[in-house]
Amino acid sequence: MSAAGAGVFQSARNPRGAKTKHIAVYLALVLACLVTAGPIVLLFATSLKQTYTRAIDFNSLIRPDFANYRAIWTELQFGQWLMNSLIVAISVTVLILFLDSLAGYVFARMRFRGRDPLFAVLLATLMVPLPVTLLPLFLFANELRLINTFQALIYPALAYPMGVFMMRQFIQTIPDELDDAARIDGMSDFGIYVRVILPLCVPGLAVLGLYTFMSQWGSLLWPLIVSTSERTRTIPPGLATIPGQFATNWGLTAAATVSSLFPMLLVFVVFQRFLRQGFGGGRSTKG
Amino acid sequence: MTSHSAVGSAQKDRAATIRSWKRRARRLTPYLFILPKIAIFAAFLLYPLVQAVLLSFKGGAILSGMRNVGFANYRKILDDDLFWIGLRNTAWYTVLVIPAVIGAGIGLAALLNQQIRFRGVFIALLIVPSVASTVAASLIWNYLLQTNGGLFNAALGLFGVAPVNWLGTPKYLMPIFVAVEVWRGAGFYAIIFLASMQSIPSHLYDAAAIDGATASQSFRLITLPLMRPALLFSTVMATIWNFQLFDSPYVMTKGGPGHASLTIVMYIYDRAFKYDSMGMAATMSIVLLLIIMCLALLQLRLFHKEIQF
Repeated sequence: MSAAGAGVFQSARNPRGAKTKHIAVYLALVLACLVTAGPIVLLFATSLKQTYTRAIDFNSLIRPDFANYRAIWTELQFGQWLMNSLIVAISVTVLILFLDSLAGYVFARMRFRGRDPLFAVLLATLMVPLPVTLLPLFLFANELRLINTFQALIYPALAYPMGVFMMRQFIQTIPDELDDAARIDGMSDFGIYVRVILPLCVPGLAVLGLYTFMSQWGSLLWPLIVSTSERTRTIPPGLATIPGQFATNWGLTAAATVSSLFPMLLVFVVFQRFLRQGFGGGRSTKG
Repeated sequence: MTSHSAVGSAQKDRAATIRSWKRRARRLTPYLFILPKIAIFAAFLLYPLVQAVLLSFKGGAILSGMRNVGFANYRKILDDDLFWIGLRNTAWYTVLVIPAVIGAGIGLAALLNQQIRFRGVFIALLIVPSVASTVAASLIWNYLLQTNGGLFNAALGLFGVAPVNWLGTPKYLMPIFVAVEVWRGAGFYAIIFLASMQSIPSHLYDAAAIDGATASQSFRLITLPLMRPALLFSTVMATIWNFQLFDSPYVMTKGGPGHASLTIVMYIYDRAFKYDSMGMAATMSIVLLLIIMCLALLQLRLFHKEIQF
């Protein structure tokens, strides 16, 4: 696991220099962590107070005032945004995991006419920027009276082919012999998919699920276009309205921002466990 | 009524028919399994893509009806100052952000790859901004960059420097967005690169050390080349993603001051929904598609030849 760790800074010529370099590594990492986590801590401190005196003020961490967290439910529509974001993100993630793993299985294992050209088309569309498809989709949704609906928020996200690519990659690392063994035992293809492939895909599914949830949770452009009222507004477009309305109310802004991070952090922690499962052990064949 | 052998052969025929049904069904299985995904893909990605091309040749507004105008839109955008401003801003941002974010990712991964303790803690802390959405990250930086009371100006104040109006100074804007994206994205890329680095067998480094290679030589000649697939993929995806910059400028400056932070996607959005010229917006999106395709293919071309294994 730490295969390359020893190599980079140690060299046969100067073993003593390695010690100073070692300390430097720790220092650099600590500095980087300050840069990444520091603003978040500051943000959290800001969310816990109502008046602002100095820029760097961590007192509120000791004497917190949670008024701002109450305000995001009353002054903003945070409750509505949160629920909508959860509905969309969870739906898309679950459906994508199913659709893309199934498709990835087919592309990894089965041979059929048109397989390679079809896969090439899927891959090529990764280059297509969002606005290209979003504009016609908007017109399409408009005609079907699906503007401001959850279907409009969920369906287009299911079309993205990245997951198929990822799952195919992953499934290719699962040995064919397992499929053959199951087939000899009389399992159908779907059975093989459910009982053999899926359980071995858990880390791959965890990565895809996390990635999908993350991009849906933070998606701004499409929800901005399609959600014309608070009924379907998700968190990102909601947060985007704050600078306009509450420009100087940093406490409120901070509370809303921190609150939007919590669910995402939770999902991350949960998925972490599944990620580690695969990268650590998991030998399904002998030798 | 029938003799044993007749029953036997009827059963055999039935069994054979069922077997051939099963064989035919198995041949259909791949198509069946990918049908849902491909159907959705065709309906919500391919079909709109085709429609977008057709739309780019139309003028007029949604309500008053749209009619074909041939290449008129394409000619109009070449004359449109805002289009060029948006393109210039976006290009400048992309040129800065790609080396910055990929470089930061490699740097962090290299540090994490050392034999250190608490690696998990470091990774967790470095990942925190990646968990924030682009909107959340933008709001955080809005806060830090306040003219009065923001962290940066407070820090400058310690050195006796007057407060800077960060978000009001045009030439600082794109670099600011670069900072936001590097802050948010470096950890994410670092994990990908770390995984790639850890799959490099250590005996290569040992052999190099015996030959007297320095640390930086090992890094340049062993680590980086063997990371090429991960590096290439990340760079191409990062380019595609970053050229579509929208979220940060929309949240932080709404394209201002003036049009100093207008990006291509922002302008497409404005054209479509503020100025109601859907046709021209579609035209610009097609141009954006062509630009991104060229960038992606160029990068693939340049680096693909050198992938070793």
